[in-house]
Order: sequence, then C-alpha cells, then structure tokens
Amino acid sequence: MTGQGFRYRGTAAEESVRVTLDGRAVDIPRGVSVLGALLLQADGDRQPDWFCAIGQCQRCRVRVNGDELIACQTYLAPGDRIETPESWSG
Amino acid sequence: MKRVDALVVGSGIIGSFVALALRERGLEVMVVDRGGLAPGTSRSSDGNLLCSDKSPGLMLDLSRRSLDAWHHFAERHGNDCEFDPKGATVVARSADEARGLSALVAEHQALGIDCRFLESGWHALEPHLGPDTVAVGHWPNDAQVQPMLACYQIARILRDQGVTYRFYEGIERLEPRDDGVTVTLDGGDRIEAGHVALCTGVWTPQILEPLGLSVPVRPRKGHIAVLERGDVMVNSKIADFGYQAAAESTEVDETAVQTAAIIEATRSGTILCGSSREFAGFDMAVNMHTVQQLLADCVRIVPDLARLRVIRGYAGLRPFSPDGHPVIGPVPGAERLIVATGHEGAGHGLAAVTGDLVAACVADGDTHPYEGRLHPARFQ
Repeated sequence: MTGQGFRYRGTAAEESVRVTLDGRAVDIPRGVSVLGALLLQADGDRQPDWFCAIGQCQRCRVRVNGDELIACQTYLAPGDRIETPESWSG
Repeated sequence: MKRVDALVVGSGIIGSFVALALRERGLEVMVVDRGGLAPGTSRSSDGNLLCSDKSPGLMLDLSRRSLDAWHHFAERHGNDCEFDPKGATVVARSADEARGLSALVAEHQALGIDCRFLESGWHALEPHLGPDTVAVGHWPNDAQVQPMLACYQIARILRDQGVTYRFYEGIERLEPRDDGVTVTLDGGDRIEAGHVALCTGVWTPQILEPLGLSVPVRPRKGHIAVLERGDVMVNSKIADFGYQAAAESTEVDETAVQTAAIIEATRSGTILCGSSREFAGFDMAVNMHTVQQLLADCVRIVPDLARLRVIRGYAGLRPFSPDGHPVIGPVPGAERLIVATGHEGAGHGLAAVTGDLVAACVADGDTHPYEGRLHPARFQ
C-alpha cells in the first residue's frame, strides 16, 4: 500500500537512532518499527510494499543485519543495517 | 519404563494435529499436557483458517495446503468442530486501499485461488458493511473452526485408537540422545520416546532452556471481545484490508499495541471481534483500553455492531517468530526433539499442515521441507 506521506506522531522524537538504509545513514526516532522507518524515509519513487502492519501479510519483508525479518514487527537498534528487497543482490 | 514411538508435548491444536498425523503413520503415540486439554493459546483463539490475509509466499503456500488438509480431516473424520468454509470479506475504505486490495486479489487469482474484487454489490455478501466501504475482496473458501471443539474431536479420535493422553503432568526432564529421548514427568514417571514433539507454543523456550537449547519464539499477546447474539448478521470473516486505523494512529510511533479489525459470528450467534497485537511478556490479563481500541476498529467497518453489548473479553499469547515463519523441525543439538511452534496468529490455519510436516520429519527424516525455511537452525 502506498499513499499519503507518513509523519512521526510519537512522543520521544528528540531521541533518535542512526541506522543504515540500503547503504545510506539515516536517523530514525527511537522505538519506531523498521516499517515505520521505511515509511518516514519514503519518497515518490521509493515506497515500502505493505498493507497490514500487523505481521500477517508479510509483504514488508526486509533484511536487518543480514537476517530476513518482517519490517512492521521489528524494532531498530543503533547501527542496524536495513536492506530492502530492491537492494538484495541474492 | 513405558516406551512410545513419539511423545507429543502439548495438546493444543498443533499437538492435536501432530499426534493425529503421527498416529496415521502407524506410530505409537502418547500426548502429555501440563494442564487439561488445550490449556494455552488454542483456548483463547478465534479459529481463523485464512488465505485472504496473506501475500504470495511461503505462508500463503502453507495456508492453502493446510486448508486442503482441514477439508480432508472433516471428510474423513466428520465435522464435530464447527469447521465452516464461510469465506472471508476484506474491506477497503479508501481509494488507496482499494488499489492495494485489487492488486492482492489479482495476485491470488494468478495463483489459482478463488477470490474476487467488488467495487459494488457487496451488500449481498455482507449487509452491514459501513458507508465508507469503497470496495471489498471476497475469498469464498476461507474458513473458521471452533478451536476447542477441534482439539476435543481429535482427542476422541485418538483415544479410540489407543493413544494415551496424560493431563496435568508437566515435563520434569528431557534427556535427548542420538536414538531417542528419555522423558521424566513431574510426577516421576519415565517414558522412553523415539521422538519428542514439542508443540508447546510460546512456552517452548522454557522447556528447552534446561538443555541449554532455545528457539527464538516470543509471546505476542492478543485480545478478543465477544458481542451478544443480536440482529447484526455477519456471514463471513470480515477484515479490514489496509488496517488504515493502524496507519493513522499507531504505525509510525512507539505505541506498542497494534489493532486490526476482524469480525466473525460463531455458530451460537455471538460475534467475535479482534484483534490486538503487543509484546507484553506472559501477561494474559485483559486490558479494557485495548478492547475498546479493537472494538472501535470493528465498529468502523461494521457500524451496526455498536448496538450490541459486549459479553466478555479474553486474551491469549501467539507464538511469534522473528521472521514470521513457523519453526518446525529438529532442534539443533538434539535431533530427536522436534519443535512445532512460531505460528503466531495462524496456528489453527496451519495446524493440519504442521501435523503432516512433523510426521514426515519423524517418519521419513524429511527435516528440511521448503528449502529449510521452517527449520529451527535458520536462526543460528
């Protein structure tokens, strides 16, 4: 699902973690799921594929530090390396 | 010392189907549970057997195969568990969601799954959908089962075949070897088993821990609210497609509780409203705030539900695995211990195929189905 831009609505916005998204360093509010991070970083050309956000549809599969996971059910730690399917080489 | 070919630990829906499949292979089977029949997650579930909530991939493949196996079960053994292929109706409430839902229906159709996308005329399927419905997807073969009745039915079948169930007996000690497992029950009895199948859901790590072994399964709590029998007809499983509510309120922040509407009538006429998801340890207390949140989601897609009274709410613990796939196969380091857990909210849907996979593992040594994508060793 794509659509309107997503913005952060949490209360801990001042705290962020630095992670790598497809090789690019980005700062993400602490406590946000990987899917949340992808939505916050999305632009017109690049949108995560998802629809349920509760772990059922499993459309938002990504790799975090090399392990394949469901983005909406995974929370980020500093230094995490996220790879989206478009960037997978194999 | 009592000897069996296979000892199944856990009598919930997974243990039930595993025991049934092992017995069908001609093995001598015993089932042990530290509580009564199905005392854990199966007892607090809604019994969904769904393809409609899954994207193409391993989980959809498993769900299709399992739904076929459920049909086979009902044909072979009779239907004493309210197994009902009543269909599922997925609701889109915005143009964006309708586009996504239309794409999902097309993907499922390309795989040969019977489903259709409707931009009008859905009131013939579900007369009470709300005015902000934009489109629906309908999967006529998705099904529902009454989980406890299914466990009871399988227990009756197995007991007629001489399978022993031992209730209120926990596992004191497991001593795995290369050719079997010695099991000591907490009453002191010792059982020599060729294989032990741990169908112990979220409690599996606790059982493996004394052996220095583990599987990365965590409890993911869910709530269900039960509405009184009334005049609001709910024909199929009704689910919100886009979980727009989650996107609007909780997706992009630190809030831990996720809710998504799923509504279904039971055979007795009550209506089950789900669902919520949160990591809250082993706490099974009902949180009324969460119940209200999920009821608000449900009323958004079926507004007439608001006129029914809530009878009760309950909570249970889904076995969550980090990559979203079940964990089925021999435990690395103890190959005669087979785990079957990590089904999250799809345990009833996947129970029938899980029985087949464990039986193939025990009887045929087929430990790496689906290219090892279910194998516990994938997390190491």
